[in-house]
Amino acid sequence: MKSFLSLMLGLALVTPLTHVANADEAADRGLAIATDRKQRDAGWNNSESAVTMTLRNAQGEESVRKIRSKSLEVADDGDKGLTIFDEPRDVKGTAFLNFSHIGKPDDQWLYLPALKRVKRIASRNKSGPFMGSEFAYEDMSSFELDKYSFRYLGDETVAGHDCYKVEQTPLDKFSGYTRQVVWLDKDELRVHKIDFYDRKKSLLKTLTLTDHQLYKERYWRAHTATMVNHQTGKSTVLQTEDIRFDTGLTDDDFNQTTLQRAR
Amino acid sequence: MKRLLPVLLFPAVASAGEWLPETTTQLGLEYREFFQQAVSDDQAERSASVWLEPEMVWEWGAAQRLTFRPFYRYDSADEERTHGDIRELLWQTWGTSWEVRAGVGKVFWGVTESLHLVDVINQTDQVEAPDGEDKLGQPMIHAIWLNDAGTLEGFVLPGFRERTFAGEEGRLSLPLAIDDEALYQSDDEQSHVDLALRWSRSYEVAGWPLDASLSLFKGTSRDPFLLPQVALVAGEPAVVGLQAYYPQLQQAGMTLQSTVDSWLWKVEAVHRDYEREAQQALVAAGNDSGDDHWAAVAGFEYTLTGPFYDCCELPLDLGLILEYQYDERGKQASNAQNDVFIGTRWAFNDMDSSELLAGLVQDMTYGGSRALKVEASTRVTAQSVVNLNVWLFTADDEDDALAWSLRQEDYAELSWTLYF
Repeated sequence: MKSFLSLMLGLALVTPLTHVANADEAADRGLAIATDRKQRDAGWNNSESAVTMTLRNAQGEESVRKIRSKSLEVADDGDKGLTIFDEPRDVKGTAFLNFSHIGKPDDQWLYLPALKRVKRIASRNKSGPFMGSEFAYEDMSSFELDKYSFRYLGDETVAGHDCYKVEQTPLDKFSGYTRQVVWLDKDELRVHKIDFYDRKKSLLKTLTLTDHQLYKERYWRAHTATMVNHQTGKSTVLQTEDIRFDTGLTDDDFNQTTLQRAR
Repeated sequence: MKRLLPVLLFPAVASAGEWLPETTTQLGLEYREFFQQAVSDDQAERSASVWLEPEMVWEWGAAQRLTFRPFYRYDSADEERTHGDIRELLWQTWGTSWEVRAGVGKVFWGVTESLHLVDVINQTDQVEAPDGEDKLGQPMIHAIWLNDAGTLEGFVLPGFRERTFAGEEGRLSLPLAIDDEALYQSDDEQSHVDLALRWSRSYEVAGWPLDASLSLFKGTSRDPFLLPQVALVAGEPAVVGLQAYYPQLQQAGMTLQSTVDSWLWKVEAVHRDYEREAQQALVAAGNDSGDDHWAAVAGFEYTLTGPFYDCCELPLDLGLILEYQYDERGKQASNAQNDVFIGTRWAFNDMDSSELLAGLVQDMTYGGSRALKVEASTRVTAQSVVNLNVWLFTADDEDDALAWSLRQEDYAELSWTLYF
C-alpha cells in the first residue's frame, strides 16, 4: 500500500533539461530523476494507514473493500508491510504480510482466520490482482531503484503540473509489464500519473495520483490513487482515509506471530 | 482468587461502553442432497441446517485480548449434527518476542492441502464436513517465544475432546452405529493432560525461502480406532456397533516447504508411537493397525498467473496441486496409505472473489477407491457468500473399509452465509 502513497517526493533537479542528446544521456537523466525521487522519500520510517478500495466494472457496478496497513521502511532492502482486511465482511480478519526485496522475490504470507492457517504465497506471481482489484501485487510493492532501468523521455504538463516524463522498465522477468511511463512534477517530484504496458507492449492501465498531502514537512502522499484498465474498462480507486507516521512500529511487529494476531 | 481474576483480566475499565466487544457474526443456511439410497433405511436423503457463529473480541491495555467464539448448528436430519461448541474462549497477551494464550483455542500446523498429518492439537468436528477441516475448540495454555533460533512454542492441553460422528439417522454414515461412550487407554480418560512442543523457522537456500518445522506431541490421540462391539444376537455373537478407542500417542512431526518461482514444494511427515498397553488392547480387539509407524504426504502446488489473460481478458489464476500420501502400515491404515491427490484451484479474481477448488484422491492400492470433491464459492451481496460443495465417493472393494462405507454417500451441499 505504502508504495502508491510514497510515490511522490520533493525538490526539483538543479540542472535545467534542454534536450536529450543520446540514449546514454536519457538513461542517466532518467536514473538521476528516479534517484532523487527515492532519496527525497528516504527516512519516512514507519506509518499506519486506513484505505478504502472501490472496484468498478465496465457496467459501473461497485464493490468496496476496506483495509488497514502497517508499513516499515527497511534500509538497503524493500519495505515490510502488514495489511489487514476489514471489508467485505467475509474476509474480515484476513491479513497479508509482505517483505519486499530487491533482486529476489518478495516474501509473502496470507493468514486465513477461519482455518487459523498461515499460507506462504508463491510471490513470483506478482502480476496477479490484489483482492480482485486492478492493482497487481507488484503495484503494491515498494519503489526501489534496483527494480528498474530508467529513461528520461521529455517534459509534459499533467493536471497543471510541469512534469518529467520517465520510462521505467522492470528488470524482473516475472513482472506483468514490459514498461511503465511515469510523470513526476518538477517542483516536488510527486508522481501524478503512470502508464503500464503489458507483455504484448500495449497500454494496459493508467494510474492517476491526486490529492497529495505533505507529512513530517517532507513526505508527500497521494490520498487518491485511481487505476483504470483500458482493456477491460474496469477501474479501482484507492482512497486513503487516514495515515499516521512514526506510530512506534519496529521490525518485531512484522512476523508470522504478529500476522496471526493482527486486527 | 475468584474475585481477583476478573480484576486481572479487565483492569481499569473506565465505562460500560468499553465492555462492549467488537462482534462479527456468521449465520449460515445449508441444504444437503444425497444422491443415493443410504446403507440404512433410517438415514435421510436430504437435510436442512442452520448455524450461528458470533465472534466477540475485547481488547484492553496495550497487549491484552479476549476472544469468545461460540458455535451452534441445528440439523433437520441428524441429532448428532445438531450440536454446539465453544470454538474459542481465549485470552492472549504478548510482548515483542513472546505471546501467551490461555483458554479454549484452535491451532493449525501444516503445509499440505490434501491431508493434515502433523496437525494434532485440535479434535476434528467430523459431523461438519468429511474433509476434517472443521475443528472443536481445545483447552490450552500456549506459549510462543520468538528468538534467533526460530519460533518455539509450548502447549499444555488439559481436557480432551471426543471426535464427533454422525448419528444413526445422519450422514455421512458408517455401516454401524458408533457408541456414545468412548474407550480410553488412560485411566484419566478425558482429563489426561497432553503436552506438545513445536519449533519453526524460515531459511533461505540458494536464494529461495525454505520453511521448516519440527513438532512433538505426547498425549491422547485425536484419531480414534473404531473397535467392533460384539453382543449375542439370537444366541450368536455378532458385531452390533462400533466404539471409539483413544490410545496414548507420541507423535513426532516435521514439515518442509520450499518456494521456487511459482512452485510451492511441500512435505509433511510423522512418526506415531502408541503405548504398548494400547497396542495390546488393539490386538485383543482384532485391530492390527496399532503398530508404530511413519506416514508422509508430499507434493507441490504450481500457480499460473493469468494464463487466460492474453487470450480472453480473464484475470483467472490457476493452481495445480499434486500430492502423494503414504502410510507405512499399508492396508492396515484406514486410508491415505498409498494415495495420490490431484487438484486444481481457480481464483477468478473478480469483484465477488469467486473461487473453485476441485480435487480427486485416488487410492493406488485399491484401484476402485476414489473420492472427488468440488468446492465453489462466490459473494452474492456485500455481506453474504454462497458455497456449493459436491462430494463423490467410489469404492469396489469391501476390504478398503472406510472408502467402502462411504460408497453411497455422494452428496451436494448448497449453503448461504451471512456476515454481520
